[in-house]
Amino acid sequence: MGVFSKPSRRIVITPPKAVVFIACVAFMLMCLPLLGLVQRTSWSSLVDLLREDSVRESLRVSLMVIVSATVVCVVLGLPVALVLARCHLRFYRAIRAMVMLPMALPPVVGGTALLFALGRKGIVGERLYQWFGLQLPFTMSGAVVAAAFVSAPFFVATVESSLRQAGCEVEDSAATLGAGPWSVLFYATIPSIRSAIVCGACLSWARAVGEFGATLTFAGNFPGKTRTLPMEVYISLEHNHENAVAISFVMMLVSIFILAVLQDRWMTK
Amino acid sequence: MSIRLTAICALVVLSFHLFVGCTNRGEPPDDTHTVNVDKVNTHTVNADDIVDIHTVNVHDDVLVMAASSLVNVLDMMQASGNVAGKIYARGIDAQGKSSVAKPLFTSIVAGSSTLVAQLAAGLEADILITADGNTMKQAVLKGYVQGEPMMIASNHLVLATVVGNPGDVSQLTDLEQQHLLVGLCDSEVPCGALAGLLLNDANVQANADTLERSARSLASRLVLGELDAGLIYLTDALALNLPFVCTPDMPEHINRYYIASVAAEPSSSVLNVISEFTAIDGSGAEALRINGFSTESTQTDSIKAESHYTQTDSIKTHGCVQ
Repeated sequence: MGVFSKPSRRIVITPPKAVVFIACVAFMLMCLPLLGLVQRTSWSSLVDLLREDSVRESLRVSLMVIVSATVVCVVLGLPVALVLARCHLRFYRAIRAMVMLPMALPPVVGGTALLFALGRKGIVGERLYQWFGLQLPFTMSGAVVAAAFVSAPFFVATVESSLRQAGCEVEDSAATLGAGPWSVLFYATIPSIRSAIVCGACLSWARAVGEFGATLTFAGNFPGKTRTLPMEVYISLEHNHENAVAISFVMMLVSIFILAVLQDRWMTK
Repeated sequence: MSIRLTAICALVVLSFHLFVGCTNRGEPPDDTHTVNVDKVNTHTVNADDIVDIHTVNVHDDVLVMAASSLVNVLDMMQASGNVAGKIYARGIDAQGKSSVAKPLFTSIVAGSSTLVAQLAAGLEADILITADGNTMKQAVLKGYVQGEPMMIASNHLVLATVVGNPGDVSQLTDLEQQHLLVGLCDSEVPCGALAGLLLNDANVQANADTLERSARSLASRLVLGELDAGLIYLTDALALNLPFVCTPDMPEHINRYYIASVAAEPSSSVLNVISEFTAIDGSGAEALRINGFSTESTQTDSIKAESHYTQTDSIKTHGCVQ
């Protein structure tokens, strides 16, 4: 027991009462929408509603889009994060800002941008269509591109910050011991940021679940092809409230579950 | 303790007011008076712009909710209104010159079904214009609209293609082809319901790739060249300069535009705006005609019986202009 040991009891300074008070009010306002949703859910018909064809169809589309988008985010996002964190880039700030842009961009703007880039008349899309007959709008691949576009920054940001925190010691030692670049990557770098990869994937997953604006703008809306759950909610709200409420409720539960899992990750890190 | 509780209650009530107050009309307006839902034609009225304050009343601004295919009509009615300090929109006379100042209105433009849903959600509009009788009927039956609906115009679908028609679309059966990108309106939107009837009667199983939520958003997909073909309104094809094909079936399937005041006893400014559409020489009726809508024999055709709502009367309203 010396001066070097941690003090057994830390003094926590609580914020001023007014701040606590505002926090309480803010918390109430945040809970209000959930309350509204729960109160409108008709529990008896919930299961029946979720068994409906249109709901199952969009659930299937949503799942396929979300899984593919998350895979795309990981496969493309990991190299980006590695380059951002480990290469001494000349225009680091500008490049990072570009990578993070979809996070701040309104999704509809993102969708419009995608349309003018990858649409049939877009700068790249036109070539894709002419040369390969490949066309993204109005297909599920288009929905995946839209979802991956908006959710990739969440993965890159998480993994990059973790890479920076982890430092280079493990990699340096591996390299000194004779490991090649690929071995360093697979046996030193990736294992050291495994939890960040999972966390980033969960975040982009969560973002892809809620993706609506970019998908609607870029991929259109067709049941079984591009109509995802959020779109189903939006459309059902106009003619079938119960359906909209049921789907919203289930999506809310899923989101809460994802958040709970994520919080665990963050706490144990 | 009780003081703290009262304070909490007061703050919660206050914050509610903050949120609710945003949609409250009739309260003193902010500097700008804009409505921002979906695709909106906003006409901003600045307090500074009011030149002749005693003749105008900003609170009287009429909020019109209109089917998306009417966007050009409303634009034309509101166009370049700089008369009397930007408070009045200019009316259009036969020569296309500005005539008497007409009362200004603000408009929200979306698919008719979206409009009805917005009314149901409590949007305080003054006038609803739907693109078919069915959506108007829903609004009337559910009590969102209390004025009596009047028919103001009719329209019909055409088979529109991208400029240049790369898909070589020339007849309705072309919509069955797998390799073409075909767009339709969703069946709850009037243009989608009408397309469903048309395709059904022609025995065509269209192979759609997207179902759009408003007539105008489908038309703009064609303008952007993302679709090969789609069934859009004649007026939209004309306004957007899209090439189109018109089969004899098409003018026989018409949709009818209905206007109704939301309140049972509308104010005089609301009635004024409605009469612009219902009167033969009104600026609304004129703008409808200029934009290719048919307004024949609609002036006195208000609906009382339910049968009037049906939209597929075999009346030849206007042939296909090509």
